[in-house]
Amino acid sequence: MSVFLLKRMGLAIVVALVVSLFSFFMLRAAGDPAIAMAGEGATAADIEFIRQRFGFDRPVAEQYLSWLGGALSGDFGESSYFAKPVSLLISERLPVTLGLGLAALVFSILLAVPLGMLAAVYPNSIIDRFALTLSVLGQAMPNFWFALMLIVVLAVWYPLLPASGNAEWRNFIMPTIVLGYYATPAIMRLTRSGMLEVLGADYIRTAHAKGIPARNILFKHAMRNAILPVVSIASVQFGYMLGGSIIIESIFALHGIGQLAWESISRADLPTVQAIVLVLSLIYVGLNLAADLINAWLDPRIRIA
Amino acid sequence: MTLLKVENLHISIATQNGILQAVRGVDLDIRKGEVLGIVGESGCGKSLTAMGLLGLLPKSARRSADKIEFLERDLTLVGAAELRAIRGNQIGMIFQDPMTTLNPSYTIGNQLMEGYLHHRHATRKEAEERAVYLLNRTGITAARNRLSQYPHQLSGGLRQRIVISMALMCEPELIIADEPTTALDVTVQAQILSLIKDIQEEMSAGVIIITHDLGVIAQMADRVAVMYAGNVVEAGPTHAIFSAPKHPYTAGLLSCMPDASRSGRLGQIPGVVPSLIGDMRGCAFRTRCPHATDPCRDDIPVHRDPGGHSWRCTIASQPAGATGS
Ligand SMILES: Nc1ncnc2c1ncn2[C@@H]1O[C@H](COP(=O)(O)OP(=O)(O)O)[C@@H](O)[C@H]1O
Ligand SMILES: [Mg+2]
Repeated sequence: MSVFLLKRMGLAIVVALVVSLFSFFMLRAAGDPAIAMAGEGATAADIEFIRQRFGFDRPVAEQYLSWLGGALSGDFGESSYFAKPVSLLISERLPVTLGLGLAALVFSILLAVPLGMLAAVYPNSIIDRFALTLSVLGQAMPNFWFALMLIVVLAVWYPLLPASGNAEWRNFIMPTIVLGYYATPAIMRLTRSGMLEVLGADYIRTAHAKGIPARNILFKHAMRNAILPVVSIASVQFGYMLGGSIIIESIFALHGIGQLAWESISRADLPTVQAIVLVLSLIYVGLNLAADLINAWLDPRIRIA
Repeated sequence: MTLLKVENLHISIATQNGILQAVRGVDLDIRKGEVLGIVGESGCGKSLTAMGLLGLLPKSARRSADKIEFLERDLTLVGAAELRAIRGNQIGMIFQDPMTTLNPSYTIGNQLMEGYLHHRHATRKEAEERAVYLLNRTGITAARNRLSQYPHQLSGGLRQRIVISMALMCEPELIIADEPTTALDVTVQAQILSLIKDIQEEMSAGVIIITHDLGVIAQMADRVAVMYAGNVVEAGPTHAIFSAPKHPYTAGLLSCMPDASRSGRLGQIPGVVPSLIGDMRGCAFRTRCPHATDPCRDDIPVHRDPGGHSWRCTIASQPAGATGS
């Protein structure tokens, strides 16, 4: 177990480092960052000032190492737009995004797992068709469009929910539904197919032969094994949702990290963009690690080699 | 005393190519403390017959029977809850592949004790003692430590001993073993068979042992039912079947056995098994039978002799070993 854990953690750290390296060099390869940050109409002196102020005149490798050194101690430098430490910006914005992502994940799991299981237990039934329809719709609808439709219906026609801002929990309902629904089809289909496979397994027949009630067989013998692939995909979907939050937060004017990322890109706020990429990739890598650990805990074949 | 009496069991399965009539009117009869062997080539409907008795068929399967009488109760008439109370409690099952029969996610102890806890409303302590007793009885060393192990940590032979222990937890009156040694190494096979035999004698339970290996039948069975294409073509005491087979199919099987010591797998009878899809009239074996005549296309009579030997054939008395191959 501990060997498995160490291996996974080591891998997670390597992946996070590689991502940070990539993002760092890509952002610099896209053009002279000093010119982009200085904006239109800047004088040569302005550009030179920025270049020195943010250290763009130094060799890239050196920049990276000093940035990484700072990042490791939680110092991401200063935002070129807000003139505030980036770490402060992130710590203000991250809880909004994580809260939204978590709520959306819970929403989609609560929707997808029971539906997927029912669809597998009663294949080709009404409930199976309903699940299929829901998942096809979820894939066909762009989520910005779905978000706008929700706003039209639930905020304009029937003013039940606030359309923008993040003042209270009711602000999060629509973004949660949009983002959560986005992840539902994949989770549901995997639950259904995993469950169908498991229900046909020999050990399910064994449990029936032992006279165990069907309900116990479903929840004990089947679910435990069917849920394994779902844990992995849920973490992947959570990663997608963090990406999707860039659009959703902008639509609903939630002051989260997605919105910050979007705005910082258009403001060429390099230190902030860089830090966000690193933080999000760390979260993503951490999630995969968590999924691996949950699976190891659920599946003794992984846990006990 | 009759333990189980099956009359006219039919099982059909809806497939893409049509209705597969896999079991076509099987009759079985097993007394208390007796070992009944069911033998036949792969695909002749042995497993479906066994699963059909307990209603463990796939969803696509349909079962009908005049009766399935187990200890005075007709299993075709009992409700789902009553059937569950019989499964694992009065009838224990041992399956073919111990690698897939056990749930990979739960410990041996959990799976052993589950049925006992459910049927007996026993305490965990009692269930654990029973499990340890049976693990010891089935020849597993360090029995108590096994309880916390997972299936993937054990060899195939050990797992099959555990599956056997699991079937015995509630002291069933009837044990159905579907090819219990087919998936195991040859060396382990003999051990497992003699274990089942010993336990059967000790508990005086009835056993249905399903196999395609006549050697297993010779070693284990008091009586034999020979199946071909979904039907029992011949049934009777083992010694009678082996010394004087009446049905050409049985005779063919016996003549295909590799040596006189009567052990080994079913050999090759020339020809192929007919399709089980759709209705079939007459003897299913006639396409491969060296004695086939015109009457074999009509309904086939069942002959019985006083020794409890019966066979379905147009020939009333088939001399032993008369079929060449
Ligand atoms: N779930 C199923 N779906 C379709 N056909 C099946 C199924 N189970 C068994 N069969 C078919 O029914 C016939 C009898 O199967 P089975 O009872 O497993 O044979 P045996 O145990 O004697 O080898 C075979 O032709 C097999 O292909
Ligand atoms: Mg079989």
